[in-house]
Amino acid sequence: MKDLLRRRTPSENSGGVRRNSLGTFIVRRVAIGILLMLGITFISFSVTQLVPGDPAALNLGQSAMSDPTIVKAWRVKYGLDKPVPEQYIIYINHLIHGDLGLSQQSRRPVSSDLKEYFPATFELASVAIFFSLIFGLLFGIIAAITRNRWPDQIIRFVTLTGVSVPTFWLSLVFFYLFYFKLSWFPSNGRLDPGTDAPSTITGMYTVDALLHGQFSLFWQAFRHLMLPAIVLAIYTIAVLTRFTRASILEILHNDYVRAARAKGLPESLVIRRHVLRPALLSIVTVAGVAFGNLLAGSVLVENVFSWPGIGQYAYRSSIGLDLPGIMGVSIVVAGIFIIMNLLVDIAYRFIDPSLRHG
Amino acid sequence: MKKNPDSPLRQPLAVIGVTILAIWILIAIFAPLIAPSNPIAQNYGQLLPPNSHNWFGTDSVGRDVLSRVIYGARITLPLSMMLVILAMIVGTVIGAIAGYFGGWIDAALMRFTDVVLAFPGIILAMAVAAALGAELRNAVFAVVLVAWPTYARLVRGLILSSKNADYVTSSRLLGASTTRALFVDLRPNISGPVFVLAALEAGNGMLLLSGLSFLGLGARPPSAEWGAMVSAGANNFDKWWLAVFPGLAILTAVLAFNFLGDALRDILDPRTAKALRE
Amino acid sequence: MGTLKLGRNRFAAIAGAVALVSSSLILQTTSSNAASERVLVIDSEFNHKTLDPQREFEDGGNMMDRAIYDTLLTFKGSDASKPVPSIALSYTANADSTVYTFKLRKAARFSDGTPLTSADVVYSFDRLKNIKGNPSSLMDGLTATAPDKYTVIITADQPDTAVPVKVAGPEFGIVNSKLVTAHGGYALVGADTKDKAENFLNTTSAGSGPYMLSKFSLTTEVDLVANPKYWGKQPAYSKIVIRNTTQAVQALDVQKGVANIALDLSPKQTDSLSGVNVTAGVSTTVWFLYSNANPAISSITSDPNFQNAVRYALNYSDLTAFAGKGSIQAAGIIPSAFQGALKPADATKQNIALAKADLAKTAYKGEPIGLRYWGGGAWEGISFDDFATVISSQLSAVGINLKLEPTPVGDALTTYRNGTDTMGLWFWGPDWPDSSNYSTNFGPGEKVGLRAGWAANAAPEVTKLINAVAIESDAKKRAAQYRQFQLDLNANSPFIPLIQSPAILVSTKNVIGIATNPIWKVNLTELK
Repeated sequence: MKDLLRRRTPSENSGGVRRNSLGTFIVRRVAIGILLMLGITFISFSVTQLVPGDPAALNLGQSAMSDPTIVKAWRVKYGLDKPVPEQYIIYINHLIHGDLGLSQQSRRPVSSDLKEYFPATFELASVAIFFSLIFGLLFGIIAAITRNRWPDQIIRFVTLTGVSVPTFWLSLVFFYLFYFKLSWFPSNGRLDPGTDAPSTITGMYTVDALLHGQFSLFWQAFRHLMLPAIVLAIYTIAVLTRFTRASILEILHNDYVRAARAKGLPESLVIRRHVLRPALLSIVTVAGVAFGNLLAGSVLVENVFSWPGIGQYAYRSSIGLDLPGIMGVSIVVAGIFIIMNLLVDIAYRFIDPSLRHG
Repeated sequence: MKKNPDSPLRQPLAVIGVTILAIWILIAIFAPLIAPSNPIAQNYGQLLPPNSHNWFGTDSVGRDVLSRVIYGARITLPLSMMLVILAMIVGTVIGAIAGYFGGWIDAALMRFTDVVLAFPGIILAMAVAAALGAELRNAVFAVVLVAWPTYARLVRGLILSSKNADYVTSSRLLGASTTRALFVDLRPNISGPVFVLAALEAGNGMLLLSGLSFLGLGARPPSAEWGAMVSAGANNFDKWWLAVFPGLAILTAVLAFNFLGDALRDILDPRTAKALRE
Repeated sequence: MGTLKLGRNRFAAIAGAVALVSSSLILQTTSSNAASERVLVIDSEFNHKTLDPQREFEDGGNMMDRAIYDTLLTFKGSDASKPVPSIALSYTANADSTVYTFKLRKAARFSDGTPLTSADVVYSFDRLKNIKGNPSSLMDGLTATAPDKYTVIITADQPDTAVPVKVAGPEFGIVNSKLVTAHGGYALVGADTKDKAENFLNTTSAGSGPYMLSKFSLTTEVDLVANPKYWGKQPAYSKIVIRNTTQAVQALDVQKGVANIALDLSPKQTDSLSGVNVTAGVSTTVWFLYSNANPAISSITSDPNFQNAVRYALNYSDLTAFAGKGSIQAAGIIPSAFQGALKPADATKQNIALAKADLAKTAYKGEPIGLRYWGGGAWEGISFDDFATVISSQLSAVGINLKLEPTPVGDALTTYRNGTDTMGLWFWGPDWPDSSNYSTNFGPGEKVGLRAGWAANAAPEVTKLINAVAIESDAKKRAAQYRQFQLDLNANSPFIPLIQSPAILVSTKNVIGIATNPIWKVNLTELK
């Protein structure tokens, strides 16, 4: 039992004693989270210092580069004229006040850039995780029931293929097939050309359109989402299927399940209380982690589909050596990651009372 | 030993995996003998579809795609294996030190590991590769940087659970040094799971590496790396052969690693197998 | 082990739901636009950084600002050498080309109805100079004044025959001075810190052109709507949507009619397209090689015999074949569109025997010579990597062994500008559409000359020629001097001009009036 629930390796478990108060747990994890964020800022700052080239050369035109006053003004504007440790301190100081600096490419605050790009990725990841949960659970259950018989073997083969296929390649193939050849889905972009987005409430076009009652707009936005979401979902479906299968199989063989059966409990009760509930628990946690991964790892899919999300933003910042952009994206995405893990851990402890006394 | 219904001999997938991998390794080794032409020779017409001379067609400067896919094995396979080995070494060393010495060393190293792990892989790899410059060497370095924490965590966990086992304690009581304890007593327990993790992670490493090349942050022309070739195919959608064949190459190689890793994991003691299922 | 009946029912339910959803998605067709609007959709790979005319310097920005802002003079169709009236009805120049007088038309108005006067012109030009942005150097040595409401005088410190073509550039777009000032604009000295109007200009345009800005993004879509108060003839399209799309997707979109114009396709991509119009022109971008003339960098590359060996070894017709349909050999460093360009007959021709003979006169023993360029980069459909590969294989045929050094763009630009590369492959797009841009940059001791290691005193004859053409006011004499300048460069200099890129526009069959233009790619206002 403990093995199944120990989704995390022991690093979280210092000394083997779990706090039994939820409140203390949350506070402790939040504190760790903040320390992690600080570490993230340090690492991403170090990465930006690795850059051997001159960011000014990339962002200023040829004539501007040959004028020293313009170059100097640009450096001052982005704080590049100060010594490195001081730049870091200044950055952290601004960060605490919510200022992520100015993007060198867009010349806007990084936080505005991220506010614009984040909802697009969130929307995409949400749809992807929705598909993943449906199919992942479905296939996982089938595979568990038909263990080692041919449906299981086929599912196993398919899921292994699903985690092996390069997402950038699959994106290309799907786009060519389903947009160009078959016209099942529209071209790039979140909406058809020239269509105005619904006025911003969440930034997610589907949700906003629904909230405004614009159903055809909702449909249009959803259709544009489908193809990249499907590609993203394939990997996650594969992972969830395998995990579901393993969880269910493991529980089915556990002593207390056998004990429950031996007690004469009806099969459906056994399944519902002793198999599905703990299985669902770990599946949900894996899904939570997968969602965080989707938010962060959609870079390749967004690149092929030109989806204006934070994956694209991270790519453009990296290529353009936009140092504030790189740092901003890293911090925000890592922050989301950490928060997702924290939420999942809290949900975990909350849902399963037995853990609290663990 | 009780009869194991999951033994490798009953797993057709494991056999397939090993076979595919063996084929690719042979292709990589014998590339000059197998490939119909020099991968960087611009001998043919540009962008020809698959034909009797060029089974996989030609690319935008007239190079034979089949030869480039074959030679690509010489880049991707060794680099992926090297990447995995490096990550394994770095992670194992850090995890071992943390697990064995415990205390503040453990706490510090594990916090550092957590930070790197909290960083979304591809974003960190992308930033590092872009910062250092687009070169295969830098891309490999970036992926290693992102991959080592998983090994560190695993090794630390294994050491923690084995550290207090009787045989280790008695060995130390008899005066064995730390080194002996680490290398002789604990290593057998650790190397198995670590190698299985390596097999499982090898596929991911290859995907990340070719992903970086696809984005333009890894292999540079004229080298025939599969990810970079798919990227060239992305610029010419209707010349489908440019992207499809290198993509299939990546797919089959990663598939082979994953089949293998999956089967290896099932052979092991189930408890360790569970510990790996992260 | 019992059966999971629950699972089976759930399976059926989910399968049913999925089938329903997917079939309705597939059958859904996109809704059509409102009947009266004529919307034009353009696919472009965005490179604009801003639409503030006095700050923008990219051809994407040029294209969009050309439709939003008017200039004193402009060009028609594909031309980039003979300015025609726009806001200025006529102009005169004094004898030594230091004073230009422009007479403005009286009917011009901004999109908010305000009349356009000389004050707005001077404001915009001052703002261009004092903001010290990327295009500010276009105003170097120039001053604008307004003696009366409909006259603008531009004075130049040195004789400058290129003023008429310069003012046709979108950077000289005339902004509504009152509106811009009201939103933080500042035109006088100190504008580099005091002007804060960029964000305003990126959300609401302040021009007098046929279109206004209705949506702006650096990464997704820019929308232009027709200006109802335009002082001239209303444009044919009421809305123009410009979408950021990768080249590969552009090819798909234009074939399916999802986009009307694709801007960034390369000639090879157009070979396999069907059902579309392909407009092929020649761009003014010249690709060139240089062999560093600085002996401190390399004794081999600075040897004129080596430079000429490279020059004569190249197979220029293969290079143009590589670049694709529409590209031509660059006869000289000045592109064919400009006055003083060399004729194709004067271009360097491949001569392998001569190349080998020249090579034999050098101390070169076959060691690898580094060729540095922007690795992974592409410009106007030509990939640096591929181009360098083709060049390298051509040179190896005469025994010159190149070591390709693809470098990330930041580093590549840095070493290029510092003049430390042994050999480089680059291109030059004119800052303003006149040959003077080349005589002031490619000579010994000048900006690009120094990048190729060509020191100021290395070729006194060429320097003399450059000084002479700068003050020559007779257009025919200037053209002859520019031609001689290029012949000198082709005979003995570190520069080896290669090709001029093709400029390809692919459009659906219902778009009329399309022509490639080297400054603004396509004139949106001329499309029907």
